[in-house]
Amino acid sequence: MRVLMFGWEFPPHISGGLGTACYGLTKGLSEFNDTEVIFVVPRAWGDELSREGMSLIGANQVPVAEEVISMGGQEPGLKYIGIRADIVPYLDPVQYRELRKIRSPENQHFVEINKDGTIVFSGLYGPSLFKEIRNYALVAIEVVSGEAFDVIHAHDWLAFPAGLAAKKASGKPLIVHVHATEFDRTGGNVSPAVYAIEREGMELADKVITVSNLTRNTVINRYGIPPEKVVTVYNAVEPLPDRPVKKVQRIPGLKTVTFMGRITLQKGPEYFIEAAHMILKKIPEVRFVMAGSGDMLNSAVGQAARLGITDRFHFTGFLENDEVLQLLDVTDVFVMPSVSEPFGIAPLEAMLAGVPVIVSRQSGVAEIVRYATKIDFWDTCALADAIFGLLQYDALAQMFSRHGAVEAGSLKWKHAAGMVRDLYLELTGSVHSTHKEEISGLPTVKNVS
Amino acid sequence: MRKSVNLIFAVHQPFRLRRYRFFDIGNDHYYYDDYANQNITEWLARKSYLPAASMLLRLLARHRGNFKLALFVSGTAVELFKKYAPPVIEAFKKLADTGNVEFMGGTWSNSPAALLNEEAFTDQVNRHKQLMETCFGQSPVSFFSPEMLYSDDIGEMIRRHGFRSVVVEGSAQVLGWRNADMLYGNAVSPTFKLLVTNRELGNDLTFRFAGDEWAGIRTHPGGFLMRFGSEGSEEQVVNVYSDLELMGVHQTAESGIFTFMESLIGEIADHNYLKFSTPYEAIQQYPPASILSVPNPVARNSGEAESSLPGGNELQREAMAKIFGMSRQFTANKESDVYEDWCRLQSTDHFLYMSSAYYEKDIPHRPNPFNTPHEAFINFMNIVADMKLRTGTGSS
Repeated sequence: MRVLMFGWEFPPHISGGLGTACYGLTKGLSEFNDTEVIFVVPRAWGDELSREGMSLIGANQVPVAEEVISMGGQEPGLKYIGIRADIVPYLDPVQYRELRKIRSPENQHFVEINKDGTIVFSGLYGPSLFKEIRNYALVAIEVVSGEAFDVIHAHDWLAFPAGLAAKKASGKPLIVHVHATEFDRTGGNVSPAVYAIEREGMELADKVITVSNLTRNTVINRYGIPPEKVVTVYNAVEPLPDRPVKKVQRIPGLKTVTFMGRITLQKGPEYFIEAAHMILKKIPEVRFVMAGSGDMLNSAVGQAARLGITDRFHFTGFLENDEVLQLLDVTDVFVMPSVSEPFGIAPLEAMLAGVPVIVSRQSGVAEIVRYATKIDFWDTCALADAIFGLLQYDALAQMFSRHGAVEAGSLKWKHAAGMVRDLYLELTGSVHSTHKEEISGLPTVKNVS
Repeated sequence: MRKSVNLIFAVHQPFRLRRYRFFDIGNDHYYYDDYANQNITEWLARKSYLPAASMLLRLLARHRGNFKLALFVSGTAVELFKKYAPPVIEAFKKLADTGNVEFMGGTWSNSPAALLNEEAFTDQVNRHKQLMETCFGQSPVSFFSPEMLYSDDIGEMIRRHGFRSVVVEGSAQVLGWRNADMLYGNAVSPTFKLLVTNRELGNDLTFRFAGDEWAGIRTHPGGFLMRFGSEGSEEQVVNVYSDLELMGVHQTAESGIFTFMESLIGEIADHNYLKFSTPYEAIQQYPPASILSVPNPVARNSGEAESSLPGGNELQREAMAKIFGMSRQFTANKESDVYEDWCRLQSTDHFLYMSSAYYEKDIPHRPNPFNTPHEAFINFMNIVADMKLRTGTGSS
């Protein structure tokens, strides 16, 4: 079984959710001897692969580069193809400025993306972005002609056109994987153009995978996709790296409550600040940390200043991998008050580190974890009360810490990958009869499998 | 000798707690959900307590001395009736006046104090005893432990408080190979008697009555009656326990439970091998068959995950340790409002809501007002923190 996968980003060039999920999923798939993945991304910058110790084995004349990534498992694990499409995903305004400084390219388009690897809605999508997405799709057809595969798998809307093009060119079944929808990203202020691309991808795909039932409902209700076509495959979490991380000294008697993620509307930072204010009125010996950056950072700082809590409320900006682990190490309570979170891997990482977590019920991860406190994002009183309980009552924190680590540890990518693989098997057995009409008249590329 | 049938009904309701947030600590000392307390009490009275009491009263009159039963009514239930459903008190008083209803002793708020703190236990038992005397004119001598909490030591402690017997659940854990339908003695003080429930009979009534396999029995109680025992056996006594809510709530009136109980009671009252007795009568009639040793505390449904009271998870242990740790404060000071709250907070229900079983599933006959065990815990601990401030032992 060979899988042609279209994504947006891949480690180490990840900004969070989407890249992490793609990596976990492909790694999980590589544990099955009979499954091979060819991963295609719009190439961003050339240094990314050497950083992970991946070796470049060849480059085409067409704007496509191939590499093989060792997943540490069976060979051949995964083939990685970066397309030199001129799209550069970036995380936040700070990173954007830095990139511009270093690279100052003439023909590159910078696209702001969020933690899920998807474009931040600014209301100002230029025609060039959509052109790039089309270019990506065109290159996909080039890839199709050079590769043998049985099934196509595209992650999120930027890759949907490429997946569809590959499907048209090859006649192979297509799975689109929804990690986030335009509704999650924009809080309802949906771009019709993005919505159209998402909807077309979901409609023409043979199966739609969603990362939670929350997202599945959105796909069914907002995009009109028949329920029987939409399957939920929950994300999982990679074990924490056991490389030594410099310990940060805990201050005795001082507890730390952490928010980690993009400071955007979708993540609900204002609810965290409001809850912090309530707590600090009651127990002063607590520190709140907001780690990350985003378009609401300035207003968040302003809010904390207005409430007069900035002496005990700290903004760290964007944190690198080791810094994340250091912060988790001194964190007593991890909070994710997202307004709309299709999944949310970060709380699982906190649980792995033994940190009690609070997540909003408006998150996919809330559907699968038992040992996490769940609140409605808008219920600041409940959030504050849950934080207070975890800070004050040791028995509670200990229970969550112990059971939470075990629970998160049981969520394995191999299991998620197994479900995805079952879908591949299902589709490759039935596609020729059901989708012949749709693909008739299109060129078909011969496959070796 | 005829075999005795002890019908034991329990009536207990806790004061339901309101959502008590941490910012209420030190600011608001009212902990109860009046709306829920009123609604639930009124509903239970209408659906179960009043029709059940009136039926029992009618049967007591009809069968004169041939029908008897035992009733445990917790102090919190009595307080709730006084507030929201006074006719229930009146109805129970009429039952007491027949002379054929034995009111059992217990802890005032159905508190698991016996597990942790004898001082608190004594306080609860005395308070309940006084209430039974003033309210129903009886001084209890038989004991009903919350969730049928029992061990050799707990039994001995109950004996020291002036009781002659206690109800113990007839689980395999307690009985081993033994027959439930005999009278047993406590391992420390053998003259203190154990009334071991016939768990099958009680559970069948409480949980399975409306099921399909009961279709025949619902209309002809004779088949069920056979399970109470047959002539010629050595068996002494069958203890059938249920919540009084069996009639009208666990089994709805539409299921036919009232008519079934009426004819079942009628058949036993007229039976030539079975006869009704009260716990106090039963222990005087028979010598204990043997000693039953229960070294570690057990409770109702101990073997099953849903009631994990004696062992408990870390939340339950912590919450109990905190509430019973306050007992010193109230040794000499029983007049204050905070003492009243302290007693009410001890109801087992509050700890059962913290059971890990609620992470796995809903427990149909014990709905949890909180979404999760940890919410129940936080709410409870917030209240405890406020009580500590009121008694001057907490820090803000």
